[in-house]
Amino acid sequence: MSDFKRRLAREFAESEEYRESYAEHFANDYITAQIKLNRKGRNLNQSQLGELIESNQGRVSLYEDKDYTRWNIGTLRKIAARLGCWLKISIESYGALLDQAEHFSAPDLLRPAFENDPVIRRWLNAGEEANPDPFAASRRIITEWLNRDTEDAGPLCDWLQGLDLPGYSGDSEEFQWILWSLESAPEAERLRSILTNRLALMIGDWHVDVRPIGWRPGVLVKNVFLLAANLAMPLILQEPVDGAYRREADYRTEHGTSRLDATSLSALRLAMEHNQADDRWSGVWLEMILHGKHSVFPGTRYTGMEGLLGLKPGLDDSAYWDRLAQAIRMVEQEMHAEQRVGPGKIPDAIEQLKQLIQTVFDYWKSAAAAIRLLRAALSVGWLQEAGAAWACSVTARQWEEIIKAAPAPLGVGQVESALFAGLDYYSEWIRPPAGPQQEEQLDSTRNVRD
Amino acid sequence: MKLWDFFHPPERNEIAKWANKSRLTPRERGQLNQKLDMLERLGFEVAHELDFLDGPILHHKHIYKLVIHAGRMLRPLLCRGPFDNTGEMTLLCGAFEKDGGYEPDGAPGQADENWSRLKKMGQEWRVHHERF
Repeated sequence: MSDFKRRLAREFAESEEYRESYAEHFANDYITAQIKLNRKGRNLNQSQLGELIESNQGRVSLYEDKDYTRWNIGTLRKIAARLGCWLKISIESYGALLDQAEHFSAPDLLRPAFENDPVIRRWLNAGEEANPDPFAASRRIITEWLNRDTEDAGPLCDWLQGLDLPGYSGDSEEFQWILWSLESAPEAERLRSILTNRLALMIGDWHVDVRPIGWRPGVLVKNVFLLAANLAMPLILQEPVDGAYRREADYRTEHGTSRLDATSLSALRLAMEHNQADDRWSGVWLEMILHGKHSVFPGTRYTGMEGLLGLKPGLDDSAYWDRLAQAIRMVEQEMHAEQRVGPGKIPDAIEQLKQLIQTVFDYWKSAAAAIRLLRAALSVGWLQEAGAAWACSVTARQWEEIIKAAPAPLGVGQVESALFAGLDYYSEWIRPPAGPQQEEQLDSTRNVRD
Repeated sequence: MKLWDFFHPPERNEIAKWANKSRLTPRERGQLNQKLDMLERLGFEVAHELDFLDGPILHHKHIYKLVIHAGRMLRPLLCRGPFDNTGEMTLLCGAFEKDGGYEPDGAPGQADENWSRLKKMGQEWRVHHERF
């Protein structure tokens, strides 16, 4: 729950005078900021807008003054119309104000003119023959920039905020449009490599996460990290991404809060997950797996497991599988230490372990992963709950026969025995406890027999 | 964007002290908090661009004022940073504007002095902004 909203709701509840004052000035600031930002966004000066609304520069200056309160609906309607928009007049609840006050930002105040409205365009184009190559124009400008010998990252900053990216309609993430545009470019691999190096500079040298440039800094930072995650070039990106992580961790230690918003933090975590040339972040993943959270990132045990899965993955790398099995063992031991293990206890320990193991199976999508994990489990020594979770996960995917038929590097007997023991333990686990009534029944049956 | 209050160790938050002393009405508190919430969200550059912040004040190159037309002309004086110019602002001195001057008299000078102290003494001399 948002602390800001809770605090503001309490203040609103304190007095009618307070909330009315807050709302009145919020509404004033909202409309004046909106007029000014949208005018500037259309490259109009006050005189030009004045002419368009059959007034003058002085009046526009007044309408953009935050202390002007004598609004005239007719004038506002005229301004909206000349900006290619419409005026919405609405009575709102204070609950809605909490939300609006929390998200008050320059990008949220901008409105596209009718001619550039992506929603209108999409509906106008619906049913028409699709453009054979919607990425052609953006591919041309991105390729041109990548082929140019330049250190100017301005265009990339703009594109990652959805600006000047031809064809981009807001239906996908901005970084995705850039990657799609490059997909069918000649020498796509070389261009991706140049893009990766420029991105590394942006993160590593210019610290774009600390000093984002442009009107949509949050969107820029999120897209920078998502682009890094999707380019997935650990040898180039691990170092700069690590720098961004350290900066955020240091900031958090010093100030007790995050500099980045939750979306950007998730994107940074994803960038780390996909750019691991060495195991420097294994502590991050283990902290998440063990505690179900992390001091810097939002996330769960399963996101931690995904991080560990992305650490130099190799089906035949026994160290890799040992790491995964060890992590599951640590969670299981933690559950025992906290006395959370036992039939009927909530949350169910085996269910939680199953989800961890299924994260591994989801990643590999192959029965071979089940055998590799079992071998590592036998080596690190899982307890019965993890064994049961493994067996259940195998049967849920109907991999029993496959792994019995191809057990290498284990023996058939070991695989069968692990499956049997796990399922047997699980059936005991989910058996309802014998209640007093059942025991009574058993006793009477016994009596009848007697 | 984070907001901070100038703090005089060991326990004097200068901004909270000004607010208490000024006996702000609920209406003034509502207006002040709304402006500061907005400032936090827009950030320094945009707020300045939109004229929600005036300044720098003549002869005080680090000091800006938040202009609030209430029953009384509230003018909290603040600076960008000063330790991280992109991510924070610090309220340095509370003030009103009356008859073309400041109340307390010399408030911009006081704000400037607080800015220098803060720069010299470091983080100990400020605390997270306390809402009005």
